[in-house]
Amino acid sequence: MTFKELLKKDFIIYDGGMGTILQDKGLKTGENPNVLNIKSPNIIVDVHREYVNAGSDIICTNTFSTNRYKVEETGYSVKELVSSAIECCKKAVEGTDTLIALDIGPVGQLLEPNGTLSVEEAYDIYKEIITASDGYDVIAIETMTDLLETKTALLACKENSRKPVLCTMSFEENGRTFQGASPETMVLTLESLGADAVGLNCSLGPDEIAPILKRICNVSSIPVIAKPNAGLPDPVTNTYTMGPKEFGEKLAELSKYGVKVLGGCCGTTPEFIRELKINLADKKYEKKNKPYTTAVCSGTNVVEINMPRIIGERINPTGKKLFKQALENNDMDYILSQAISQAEDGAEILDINVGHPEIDEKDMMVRVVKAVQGVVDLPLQLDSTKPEVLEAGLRVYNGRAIVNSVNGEEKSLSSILPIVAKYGAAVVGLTLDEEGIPETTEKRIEIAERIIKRASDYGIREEDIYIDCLTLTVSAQQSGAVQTLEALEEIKKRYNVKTALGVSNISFGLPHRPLLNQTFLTMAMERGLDLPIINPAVFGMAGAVRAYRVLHNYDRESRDYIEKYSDFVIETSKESHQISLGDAVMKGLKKDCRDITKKMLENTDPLVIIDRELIPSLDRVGNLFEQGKVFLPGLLSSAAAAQQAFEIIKERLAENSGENVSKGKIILATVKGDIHDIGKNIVKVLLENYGYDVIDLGRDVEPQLVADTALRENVRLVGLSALMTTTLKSMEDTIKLIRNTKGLENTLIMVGGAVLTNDYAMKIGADFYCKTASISVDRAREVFGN
Amino acid sequence: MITLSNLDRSEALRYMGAKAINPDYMTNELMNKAESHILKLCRPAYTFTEINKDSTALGGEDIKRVLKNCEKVLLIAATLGIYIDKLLRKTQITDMAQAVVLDSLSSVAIEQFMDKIELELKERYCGYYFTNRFSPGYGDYPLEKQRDIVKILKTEKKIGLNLTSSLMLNPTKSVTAVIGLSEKPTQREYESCKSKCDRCNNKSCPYRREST
Repeated sequence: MTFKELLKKDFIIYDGGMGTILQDKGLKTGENPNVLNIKSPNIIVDVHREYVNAGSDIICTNTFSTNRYKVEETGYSVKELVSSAIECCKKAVEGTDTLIALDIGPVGQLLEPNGTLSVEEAYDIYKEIITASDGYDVIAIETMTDLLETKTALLACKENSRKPVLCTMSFEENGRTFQGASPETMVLTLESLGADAVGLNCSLGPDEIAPILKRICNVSSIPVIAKPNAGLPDPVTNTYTMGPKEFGEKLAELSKYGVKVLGGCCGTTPEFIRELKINLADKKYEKKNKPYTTAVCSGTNVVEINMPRIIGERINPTGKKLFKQALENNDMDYILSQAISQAEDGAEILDINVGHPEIDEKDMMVRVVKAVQGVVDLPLQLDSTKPEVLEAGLRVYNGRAIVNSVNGEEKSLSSILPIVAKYGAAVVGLTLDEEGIPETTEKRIEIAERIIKRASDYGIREEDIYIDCLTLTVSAQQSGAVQTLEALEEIKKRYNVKTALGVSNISFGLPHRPLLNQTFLTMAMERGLDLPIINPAVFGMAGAVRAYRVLHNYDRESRDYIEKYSDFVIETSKESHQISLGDAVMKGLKKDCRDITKKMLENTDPLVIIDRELIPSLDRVGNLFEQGKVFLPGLLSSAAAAQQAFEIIKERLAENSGENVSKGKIILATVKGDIHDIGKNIVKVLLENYGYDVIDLGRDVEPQLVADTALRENVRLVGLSALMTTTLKSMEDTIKLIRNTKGLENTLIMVGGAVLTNDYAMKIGADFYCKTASISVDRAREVFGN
Repeated sequence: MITLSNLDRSEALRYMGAKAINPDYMTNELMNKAESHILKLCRPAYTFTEINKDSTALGGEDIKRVLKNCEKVLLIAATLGIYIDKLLRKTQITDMAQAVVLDSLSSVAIEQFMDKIELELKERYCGYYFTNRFSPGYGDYPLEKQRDIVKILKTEKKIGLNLTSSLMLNPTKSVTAVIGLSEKPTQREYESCKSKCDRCNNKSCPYRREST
């Protein structure tokens, strides 16, 4: 029997609980139940055999807690535990058609950026389990709460085994997993990556899973799995509320939604499975076929392309000096702030382009994807011409992404499409080829057709291709605009594809560009544009899309429009009121700080603004803070306002020559193992305010990275933070490494953190102990003599 | 189900190291915003069980003293969930002032959540007297015991609470604690102490309340 053959049956019966049964048999809570595969195999074989006898078509190996992390203290290796688990199953299924599923659970460590486990390490952990033996028939990834971890496990399965993979996640009653995945993001992500069945297990009983299961069945086109608990547990006695009969009846009833694979989880026993089977006997499997709508998602949020959707274009260095600088300096906060502000301005998908000759694009793509998905909930569109960059980004992406882009060139088709297919992404297809952008409508349609055809050879659906007919600058080729629109309309008519278009190019070289951009955008939407790639901060652009949705009856009862514009007042360009830069800083008025600084720069030297206005007012706020008259948030508000002024000055300097206002370079890092970095970030804001260049290495930082960066950037002052007593050791290690690194003899180290004391700081070899953030500014001034 | 409301601002100010009680205008505005964000995004969840006095979850002499006259011991874990961490991460990029307020106020929120859990447990264990909450890291109760606690309570599965290899609770706004239950109104351990700060060994803690 194979899984494929099993699918011919109406229903596939899974097994039930293992851990809870073992506890009843005397396993202590807290003990790893998987060691019993070796210590008492007979107990395990008996439980498996009872499930086989009860009618399970698939039984799961006792390996839920078998991974590198969780077996560490057992004294056994992953390989030993997996092999023995499979041996137990083999004995139990002997002489039957029952399949063996290799059971895989969560690693037990949260992935970055919530925790410290990297996607790459998670992949290795899963690979180790999957390749430990090949004596299983299918793989069951279970009880997952993090979609990215699930996706990583699935990828490890697909790349290291040919066995079918069944994925289930655990949802809470609010319809989300602990890490925020929804039934829809789960199905979309895992189905497009090639899971063979998808569904839920654990956490709730048949009553509570019903609405969630329904949602899964509504969106899934692969078989759906349901393995609930025996109701809800009592925390003290650990007994579950439901008996076998009730469980069997209620779960079998849920098959009406279109569930194919059914079984039990915690609290269920072979008796539950027997009842389930009896209750399913008179039921028929009904597959619900729904029309396909192309959609993309982040880990938490699905965006269906069923109306014009805004793709934010701002994460792209082309023509942006500051963005290029941010890439060169690894200034992740700058890039992230672009992501956050676009999301706030109404972007629904973010384009991510980090192509810049000065940097390693692949490495940067990975880091930016990881960081951006840690702070915004929007799906991403990975934008590069290099297949290796796209693939690297797709591997760490949580959800279903868009690849931007493939074009009609053979080289592009044959290198990009296989990646799109493998990761189940959607793809933007540019209507250009070896001969460039065609002038005529027909030629563009021809290229689109070529892309669609080739994509279908790789199994990519037409609906998941987003054709970009390319915008030409109207001041250079005035007839081009109409050609683009005609091609767009015709392609939409002929094929089931969606369309994307970068719009702003249209107006290059002409005055009052927003007017042309907005008009062209509206024209394009009326001809069938689905995905305008725009700057959502420009009022008229996002506004045109919102208005279009109202007028075309997409935005029901104009809800979205009203929410956005009900408080809208047109900003009048009145002179900013009589307020000095110093006052604006004191009061934390960001916008005023920008405006006043811009005005001052017309006739004042940037350094004079910094030394005579900004720094003195920051000192003033600092003093008030010391006196307890201003609180920390007030101090930081002032700092943020001053930062706005600094940004304006920096922008100006970047434009002219690249003159530098830096008073010195300082590295800041929260040490290895520590994920609490708010203290470090407070210090960063203050130091930057006083004109220091802060190289922020983030949190959970390897000592070596601190030393390497200090050496490379020739840094005289390093600031380290640690919150917990457990991570002070990392702080000590980092200091030792710096002390022992040749070339860093003159580097000074300041440290801070809630559990540190001056004595301890000196004991571990730091030069300065900073009890508060403002003391770190004093130390920096001493060190750099400014 | 427990829901949170009215977060204690003066406590948040203390976490921020404020020496006065009345927040300045800016701080007040930031507090309003932070509170509404936290109440919207937090997903308070907790789990508990009864343990024996010889449980591996316990350790150190102090806890023995606390539990000396207790018949029952409760082990509790609670969290505000992952969304608060994401909000904190995001806000630290856009607005540090707001982030600091969010951080402090969500620390207040998890403590208030623990207070409400305790009230709920007092209903369940009607007739028992409760000791103060005692957590790993207090006194000589080793932080390493977090490992046993999350395993025994299966916090990963039940409330989405994990432990990093450096023993940090994750999501960060989470708490584990032990409470002793006694049928007799025995003298509460540390009753003579004026605040919970007084029974903590970290004398240089920046959040330490002044002894009076």
